[in-house]
Amino acid sequence: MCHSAPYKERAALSIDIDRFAKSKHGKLRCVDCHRDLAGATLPHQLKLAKVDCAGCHRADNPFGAPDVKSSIAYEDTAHGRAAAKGDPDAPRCATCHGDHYVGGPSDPASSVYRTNIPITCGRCHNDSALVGRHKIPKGEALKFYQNSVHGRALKEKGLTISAVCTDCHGVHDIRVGADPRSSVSRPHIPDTCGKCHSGILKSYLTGIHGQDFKKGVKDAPICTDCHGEHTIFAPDEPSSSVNPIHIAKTCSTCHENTRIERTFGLPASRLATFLDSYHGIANTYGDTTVANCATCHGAHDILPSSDPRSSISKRNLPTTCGRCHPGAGVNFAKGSIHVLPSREKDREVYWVRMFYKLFIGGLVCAFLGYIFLDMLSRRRKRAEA
Amino acid sequence: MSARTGIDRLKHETQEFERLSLNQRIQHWLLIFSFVLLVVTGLPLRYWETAPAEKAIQWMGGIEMRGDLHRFGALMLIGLFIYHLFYVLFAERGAREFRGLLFGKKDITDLVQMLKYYFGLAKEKPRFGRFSYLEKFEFFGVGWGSVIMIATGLALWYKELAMALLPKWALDLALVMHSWEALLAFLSIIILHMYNVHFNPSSFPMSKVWLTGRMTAHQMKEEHQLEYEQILSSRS
Repeated sequence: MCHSAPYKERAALSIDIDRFAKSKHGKLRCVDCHRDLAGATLPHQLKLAKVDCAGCHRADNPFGAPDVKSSIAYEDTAHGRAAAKGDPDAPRCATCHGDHYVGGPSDPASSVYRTNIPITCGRCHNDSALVGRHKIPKGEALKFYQNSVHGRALKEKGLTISAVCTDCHGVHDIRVGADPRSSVSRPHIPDTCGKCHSGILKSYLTGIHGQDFKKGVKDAPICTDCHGEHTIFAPDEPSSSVNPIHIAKTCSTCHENTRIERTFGLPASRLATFLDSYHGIANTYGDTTVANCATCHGAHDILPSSDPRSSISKRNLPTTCGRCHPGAGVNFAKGSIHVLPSREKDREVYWVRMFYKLFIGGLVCAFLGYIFLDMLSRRRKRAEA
Repeated sequence: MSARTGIDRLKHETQEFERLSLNQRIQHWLLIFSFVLLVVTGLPLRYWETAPAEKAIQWMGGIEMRGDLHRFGALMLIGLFIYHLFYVLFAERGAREFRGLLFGKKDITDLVQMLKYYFGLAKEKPRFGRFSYLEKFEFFGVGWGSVIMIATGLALWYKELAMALLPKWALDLALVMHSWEALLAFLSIIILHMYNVHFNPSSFPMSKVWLTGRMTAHQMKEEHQLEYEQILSSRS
């Protein structure tokens, strides 16, 4: 047989019969897929028709093949449309599933087994020429993913429940994030992440950010706004956007944005006032023990101070501060935390600061004037002598 | 006073007079050390967002080391302050010189006289006793500054206790006062004191009193004429 031994002229056409026999299609005959060869005399013609997987993987097929044709939205996706147009780069069934040795998702040797999925997708999505040719948004994401907490958990720990490409992007129904039907579009991200992080999702939806998201507020931050997408790291990793070192910058993307501050009536200068405190200074210098935004405000279930459930409501402040400073009493909660001295608020600080500015200014002028006069008189004396 | 020959006069000019006892000099040395340490470890925190401050903090071993060094300097200053309090209250010399440091009417007339002299309205400078009004001003400046710095500094150091006792705004105030009073102290020393003991033409490059504790008769006649005359008349 031509295809059973290493085929001298075209290696791709040599078929490993044992490996084929173990694949999902091991019991099929060649002509079950290569239908144009049915009844052909050998040696057959060299140019074969493309195999139509949907010949079997359709509704009510007699072979017991999983119905893929009617249950997936492949044809209406970027991949499917490109394939329909005959784009040679477009992934077809065999691009991801393999051709002769199709394994199921539970077969560790299969290209669609969880730990292999990033490699499978990366064959195209980590190919800079291909990514450039098709203007794929956030192309070459694979290298970022592989470095992320999800990618490392999968690769280093073999943690198969860790998120792979298809968990967030879908399997056959992959759509770009700008498409509102996409699982990675803004309206769907919280649910997509929540498939695994269900406790966090629940907590997020009780917080002000989640409540606003539910109301359809476009500016409401969703998971990826704070955590990133392919670059997600665990909060205790220094590369994480929510690490104590970076969190002030991350929150400030919105909370130092004048348009957002004005639209939602957010208090201004939160970053500046944080940086004015010892917490902020030490934080900037890399001290991770001091309080950062999330230490007091919480993370997913952030609530405004006006909400009695908030960790920063006046009533809860002694408890919140007390987590680090056991001494903080009810008395302590009097006065602002983010101190922004003016004639109306934080007046004590405002006036004391004003006093020092004037006093020091006056004193320095007096010193310099006195020194000037002293030197002048010495010069005069020398001139007289 | 009997008539003197030229040689007597020359001998006398180079004669030295004690200004600071060894005890006082040690106090001053410790004060210099703690003050410099506190300024070096403290000012970078005030100007933490500037590049030199960042360099300085890295140089001293990071933000936590900076704090440890600052508190070490603070302990020295507090120890010195308490010692000095006992020194002026109970030591014979301390109490006597402290009384000499208290402001009196003469200090006001001296200042007026000095300003008149500076503006060419008087021929003579005022004649100072053991302590001029500037020295008194510096002494009480350091004293008052220390009280503020130690009080606000302790509130920030023992923040748990302070938070239990004081409202947040009082701690904010302590922080602001500590920061600005520090600047005030730093500028006073760097401008006024450095001029008086280093850069003014009669001391340049440096008055040696802080090392030797002694002053020449020539300097005495320049800066403490009244005291000088009192010493001479008590000797004759």
